[in-house]
Amino acid sequence: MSDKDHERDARLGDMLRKAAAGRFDAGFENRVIGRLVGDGPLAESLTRYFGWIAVPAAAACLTLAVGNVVLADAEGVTMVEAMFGLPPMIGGLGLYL
Amino acid sequence: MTTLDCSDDRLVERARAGDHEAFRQLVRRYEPVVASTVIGMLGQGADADDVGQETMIRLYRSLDRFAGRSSLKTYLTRIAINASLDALRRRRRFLKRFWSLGGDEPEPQDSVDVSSRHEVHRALRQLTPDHRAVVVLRLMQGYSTQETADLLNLPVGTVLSRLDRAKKRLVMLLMVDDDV
Repeated sequence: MSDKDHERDARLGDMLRKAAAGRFDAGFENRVIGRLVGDGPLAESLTRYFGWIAVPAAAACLTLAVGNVVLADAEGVTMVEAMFGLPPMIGGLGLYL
Repeated sequence: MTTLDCSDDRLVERARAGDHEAFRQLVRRYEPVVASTVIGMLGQGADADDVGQETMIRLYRSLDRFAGRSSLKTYLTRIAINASLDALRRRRRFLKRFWSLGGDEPEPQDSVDVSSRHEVHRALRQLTPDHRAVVVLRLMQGYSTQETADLLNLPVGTVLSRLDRAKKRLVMLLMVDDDV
């Protein structure tokens, strides 16, 4: 490595060290503590309750949709209308009877 | 004795026991270490701030496992570099999925911008994340080649070759007036 290479490396190192950021925006520690105190228990509870609620809710939706399809008796009712119990749409213009 | 006078070990012990004030002091003490690593990797902006917070939260959650074999600075740097690499992978996946840009990174907002500093960060973003990690640890943070290799779980030879390639690229990007 020549002297010129050494000098260039030293300059590069100097530029990089000077460019290193010293801090985040003001209030960083408050944001960390806020996230730690505020998010911890809430996030855990939400995750736990979501598991409990989402699965039965999805099962109930599926059951109701299947029930609607099975019980749909009108002719010309589409699968989507039957699943969600919607009134039939006429003319494709978004007008419901 | 105030938390300001406490040693790291004492603060870690108190934070493990649930003392948030002790943990706040650790955050304040080590913010510069985390900031230079994360901002070096991601550029200044909300994304870097978020990864910085995540680094500190990961530290808090792993305090029980921190055995003190390495210094807290080294331990935090390892968490920060891994969290930054994770964030870069997420960013790359997001960009590929939604914009099909093949991983080009957006320009983060540089709120505190001196032009030379801006140029350096812009040049750093031109490096691959692997090369950038070596530059940030070895040249910005001042870790030795061996320490950099340990932090990244890489052989020393790999660190040296990545550093060499990264330096050549940076010289091209930053020192256009030199004979390269």
